[in-house]
This record gives sequence, C-alpha cells and structure tokens, in this order.
Amino acid sequence: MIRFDNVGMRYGMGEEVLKDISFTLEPGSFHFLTGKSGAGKTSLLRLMYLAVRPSRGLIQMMGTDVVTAPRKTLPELRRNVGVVFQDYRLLDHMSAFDNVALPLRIAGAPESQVTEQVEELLAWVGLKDRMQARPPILSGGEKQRVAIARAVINRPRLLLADEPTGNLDEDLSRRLVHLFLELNKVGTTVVVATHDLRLVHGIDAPRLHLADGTLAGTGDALADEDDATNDETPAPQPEAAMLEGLPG
Amino acid sequence: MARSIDFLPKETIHGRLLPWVVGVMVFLSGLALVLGLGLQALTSGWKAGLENSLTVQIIGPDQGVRDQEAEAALAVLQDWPGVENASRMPVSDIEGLLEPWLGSGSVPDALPVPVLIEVSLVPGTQIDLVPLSRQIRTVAPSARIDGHDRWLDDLRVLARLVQGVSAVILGLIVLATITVIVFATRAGLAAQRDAVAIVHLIGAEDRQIAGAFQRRFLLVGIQGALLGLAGLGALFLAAYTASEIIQTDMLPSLLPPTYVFYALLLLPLPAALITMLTARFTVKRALGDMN
Ligand SMILES: Nc1ncnc2c1ncn2[C@@H]1O[C@H](COP(=O)(O)OP(=O)(O)OP(=O)(O)O)[C@@H](O)[C@H]1O
Ligand SMILES: [Mg+2]
Repeated sequence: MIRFDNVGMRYGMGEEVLKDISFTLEPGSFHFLTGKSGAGKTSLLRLMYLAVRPSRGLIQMMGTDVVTAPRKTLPELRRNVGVVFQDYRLLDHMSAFDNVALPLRIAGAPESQVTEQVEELLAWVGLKDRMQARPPILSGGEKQRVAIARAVINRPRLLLADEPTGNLDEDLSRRLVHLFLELNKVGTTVVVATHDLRLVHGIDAPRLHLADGTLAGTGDALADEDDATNDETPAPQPEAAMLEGLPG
Repeated sequence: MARSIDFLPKETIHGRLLPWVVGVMVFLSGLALVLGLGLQALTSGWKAGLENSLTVQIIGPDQGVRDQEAEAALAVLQDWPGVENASRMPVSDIEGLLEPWLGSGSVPDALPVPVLIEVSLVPGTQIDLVPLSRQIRTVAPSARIDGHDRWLDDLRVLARLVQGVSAVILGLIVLATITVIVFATRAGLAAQRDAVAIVHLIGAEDRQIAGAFQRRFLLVGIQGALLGLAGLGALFLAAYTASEIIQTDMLPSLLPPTYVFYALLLLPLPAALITMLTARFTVKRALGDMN
C-alpha cells in the first residue's frame, strides 16, 4: 500500500524535518504514528496525502511512484485517501452536511446517495442536529467529528488521521477510533498519528515512532519515555458492542 | 465524472463592481459596432447611388451652342451600351440647385447656366469613361463628364477607415476585458486559496476547480452584458426620440439599419464566452503553476 525508501523532506531551504525514513505498510494494516510534538508526524502524513513532495527518496502509494507521478494523476490517488487533518481544514462557508458531502460530490456520486450517506454518517457521529451548522459555530469536538466524517464518507482505501481525537472526550474518542478499526476490518489501511497514549495502549496495533525526524522503530514494545504525555493507566479493551450502529 | 463542484462561498468572489465593468465594456463595444456597421451601411448606400450614375455638364458660353451640344451629347449617350437612361435636367431643377447661392427667382439671363445631363446606368455595369468622353467631345466640345470617381474613391477610403477603426476599438475592448477578468480571477483564487487547497487534497481535479470559477464568471459575463445592453437601449431610445423631435432629414439616416440592432443583441454571447473562458484558463494556469 505504502512504501517509503530513504525519504528526506524539508520545508523550503530549512533543515530536513524528516530524515532517512524507510518503512512499508501492508494493505489492510492499522498503525499508530507517535512522537513528540514537532517530531514530524504531520509532515510524514502530508507526504502520504500528497500535499508535499519529498526532497529525496522514493515513495510508492498503491503501486504508483508519487515522486515522479504527473500532476494530473494525483486526484485519482487522493480520492482513495481519506484524511483527518490536525486543524480539520473544513470549508467555513459550507454547512457540516456540505463539508462531509464534498468527497462524494467530487467523485460524482448521485445526489440521492449523497443525502442518504451523509445524513446517516453525521447521525452516527452524533451531529444529527448540527447538520446545517457551519464550522465557525461548531465546538472543537464537533468540528473534529465533521472532519472525521468527511475523511471516511468515501470508504477510502487509505485513512490518515492526524490527532483525530485531540478535542474529544474519552468515550467519543474510543467510539471514533473503533470506527477506524471497523473500516480497517473491511480493508482500509489506517494510520493514526497521535500522542494520546491511552488510545495507543487500548488498541493492539503496531506503532511507527518518530523522534527528531527519524523513525525510531516500530512495534509497541518501544518505550514511551520521550513522549510528552506519559500515561501508564491501562486503557480498557475495545468492546464489540461499540461497533454496532456503524453505517453499513 | 469530472462534474464541477460549487465549493466557493455564495458571496461574491470577484467584487461587486465587476459586472458593471463588463457592462461598460459591452456598452462600448456596442457603440463601436454601431459605428462600424452603421457608417458602413451608410457609405455603401451612397456608393451604390453614385456608382450607377454619371453627370454630363455642358458649359458652352452661348445658350444656342449649349442646346445644340446637349442634343448631340444626348444622342450619343442614349445609344451607348450600358446606359439605361439619359435626360436633360429641367432648368427649374438647376435653378433649385443654385438657389442657395443666387437666391430665389429666375437666374439672370446674363449668367450662363450650364446644361446638366443625368445619366443612369444599367445596374451592375462598369462603363469605361475614356472612349465615351472622347466620343461626346467630338460632338459637344464644351462637355465635361463626371463619373463621381473622386467621390467614390473618398467614400471607399472612408468606409475602410471606419471599419478599421471600429475593429481596432473592438479588439482593444476585448483585450481590456480579458485583462480585467484575469486580475479578478487571480484575486478570487488568492482569496479562496485555502478552499482550493482543501478540495485539491480531497481529490478534486483542476478542471473541477476551474469549473467552479468558470461558472461564477459566466454569471458576471451575463450580468455585464445585460447591463451594457440596457445602456445601449437607453441611448438609442434617446437618439430616436431626439430625431423624432428635431424632425430633420439628417438624423434618421444616421440611425443604423435594423440588422445592426440584431447584431447588438448577440453581444451577450461573446461577453459571456470571454469572461468564462478567461476565468477557466486563468485558474487552470494558476493551478498548474502551484505544484
Ligand atoms: N509549513 C512549514 N514550514 C516550515 N516548517 C514547518 C512547517 N510545518 C512544520 N514545520 C516544522 O517541521 C517540524 C515537524 O512538524 P510537524 O508538524 O510535522 O510535527 P508534528 O509531529 O505533527 O507535531 P504536533 O504533534 O505538534 O502536531 C517542526 O519543527 C515544524 O516546526
Ligand atoms: Mg502534527
């Protein structure tokens, strides 16, 4: 699904914020991406959702070499990638409904299907009554849920979530991470960037750990010493019951 | 598949003045069209009148000689191939032509009034004046033949000049409109940079994004064209009313023929096309440069 080979990336003329990144994500896998604030999590995700190109190295996504891919092939690739941006990036002049509908409309889905799917998903994330509200009057957590709904509405092959639960209470966080897990079960490859260790510990999934722009190792055997919010309380195991009601 | 998506804010993205600017452009190009087509119609009307006629003047000093020469010249003219009709202009008509200079009443006998022969040609024929005048001169030495050549040449130059000038004016208006739209599109694109980046990342193609802008600017073109046409309509109504009030023979002939008005009604088409395509092209270029 994704292969990084010796990737380096810098912003403008600055220092490299990512160095010598090499890893492979198998189709259908679920990974956490951890690391301190400023370690480069968002930058790594931006490479994956094709917002920036690396300054060196090789990136393959779904069999395409994205470094050399011509510009006009990128939209098709991006339609297979759902992204929850750390700063949501909702369109402020559009209702929650229209924001979530955007990926479907861009892909050319018929309007009847758009209405049905968007209403169902927004109801599922608890925003049934806020569908016509615009982002500026939504709370942080509500915006985050709209952003998550927009990322998954298209059932993408790859889901990239950047700190998707930062503004959500514990219950809601777990509910939404289980939405990701459920999508993962039906084939979506998922990468969740977070420093919320309760989330990481609650789910049995491998970790990509970034420290200072380099990949320090994978697997959850890794110690958490360098993480800012060290929380050792064991998180509850996911309950199957929470997955019910997921839009089918 | 590449259905365009309206992701732009409902509010204006190009400034509220833009339709008025386009309206002024449409108004001005309407005037240029009226100038070009209208004057062209006028001059070609005159031209047709002049091309099908000749005038022969006989300016002998003595009344008897003039009459005699006139008879001879008429005989030659009536037999000449291509001549439809040749007739002597009545003295009263000539006195009418001289009236502005000599006042009304009969011309004093002492003043030699030339004989004028009006010749009309079979429509579409070209007569070579050289052999004709040679032939007439042999029977009427004081005859002078006027083929209106000087006038015709002047009219031809005038017609071409007017046409050229109005074409240049139209071209400049189109260029100015394109420039204005390019700047407005760039400004709109810059203002919507975030929204454009977001829909890009969600998988929108350049042409879907360009389509959204294109639709807005198509609307600008249509609004502008309607404003411009309304202005032109008001202007012509005023001109028409003025010509009714003034009641001279001059003004109505200066109003362009009706087909010019039909041409004006077509103006919204190029206006909408220009604004729309310029916006589309500008957006696609800007997006292509972005990467
Ligand atoms: N647009 C940018 N231009 C220049 N430098 C940037 C830009 N975005 C990020 N950086 C720098 O790149 C480094 C990595 O930033 P990044 O946003 O990837 O970190 P992060 O791991 O996502 O942090 P956080 O957990 O706070 O979101 C930081 O040093 C940051 O200052
Ligand atoms: Mg980040």
